[in-house]
Amino acid sequence: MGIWGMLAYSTASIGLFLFAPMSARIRALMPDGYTSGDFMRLRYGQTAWKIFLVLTLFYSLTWLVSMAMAGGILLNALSGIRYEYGMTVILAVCVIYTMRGGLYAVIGTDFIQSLIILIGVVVVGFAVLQQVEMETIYANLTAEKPALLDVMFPAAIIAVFNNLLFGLGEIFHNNVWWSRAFAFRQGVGRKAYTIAGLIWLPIPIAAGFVALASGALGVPVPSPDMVGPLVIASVLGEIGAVAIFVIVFSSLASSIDSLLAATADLITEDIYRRMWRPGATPGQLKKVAQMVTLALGLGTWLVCLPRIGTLATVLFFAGPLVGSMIWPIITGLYWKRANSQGAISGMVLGSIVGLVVYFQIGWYVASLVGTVVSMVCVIFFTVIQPANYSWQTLRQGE
Amino acid sequence: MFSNGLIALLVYGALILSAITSTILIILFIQEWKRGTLW
Repeated sequence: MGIWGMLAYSTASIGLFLFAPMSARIRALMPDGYTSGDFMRLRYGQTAWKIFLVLTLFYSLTWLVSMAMAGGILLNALSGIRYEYGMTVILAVCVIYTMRGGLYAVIGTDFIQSLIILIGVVVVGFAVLQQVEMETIYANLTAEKPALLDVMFPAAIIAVFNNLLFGLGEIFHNNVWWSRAFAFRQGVGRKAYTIAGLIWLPIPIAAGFVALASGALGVPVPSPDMVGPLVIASVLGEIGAVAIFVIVFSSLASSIDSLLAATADLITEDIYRRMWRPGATPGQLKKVAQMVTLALGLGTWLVCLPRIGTLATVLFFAGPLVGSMIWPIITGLYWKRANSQGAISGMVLGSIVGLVVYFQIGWYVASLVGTVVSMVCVIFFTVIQPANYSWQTLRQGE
Repeated sequence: MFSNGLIALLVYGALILSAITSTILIILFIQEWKRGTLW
């Protein structure tokens, strides 16, 4: 998708900017909240909560699988380590420290990993510019791959909006972001998510640029998944190969550990405690969360053993499910009139129609359609059957 | 077609923003550490 692709992936930062004030509202409405599932259950009732759990768990597992697969593929491309070994090592490391330290360890390591990624991106970007001039890269792209520079590339333009909605849906619904909104000290969430948006904004552009330089640098690329790391290893030589190893490991680990912790919390709190053992003690819940983390790691490992497809196809399959949750979440947080019929029909119909579009047209439009269908359902039911929700219900919990 | 100038602007902008945000992260880390609120 070229330049549009770089911009498309950057749009996830808009989700972070928008989630900054939302995180403050979440904490104000639910000072004792624990998961995004808590919100759906208290706001929309049991049916919407269960549908939400199915969608979010499916999405989280898809993301987890795609990240672990990426670990195997990239470590294989960079160092020749067999796919199975690379994938196993990255998963095992994340599972061990997430089990030991929980969300606390995850947030701490995420900070260090983000710093490594940022510094890595800056160093690599300027190193590429030292080796090859911007004009040369541009001339090479114009001659070899002009489509990457095309402004009027319809699928790429649609993909920008699709990715934007994917990013919004992912951040607005997923317990990865909600669990932190609950855990942060008062006032920290807004600042943290705003800075996170600023951090993410340039990353896809800088990383995409490195990939675009592959032609001018004469680096052969066997698959789009590997282009960035191979260019970096080529530009920075042996040191670069080690550096990119660390950067790639950090990038993937920061996602995998967050998903493990947040999904384990969701399963422990929303499924184990709410549906099975309401009287479980904090100690028992902690043990269960550790076991769930281990089970998630093992399950992901088993799914990843055969290489299913490219990373994008695996992840974007979940796009419509994620997009269909945007409207129920936003309206649930800000509109008293939003109701469960709208949320349920929005999530179900948005997901179904989005998936049909995914298979009939393509991944680049699936989230877009899922979101629009969900929006129509939510607004329709809000208008014809407005609720009068009391925010106190969220504060009081049960 | 995206022009060379626009792409250069995007790339240099992204690299400079990354450098700024990494500096902000380091400063915040030191501030929290000094305040004793890091751990």
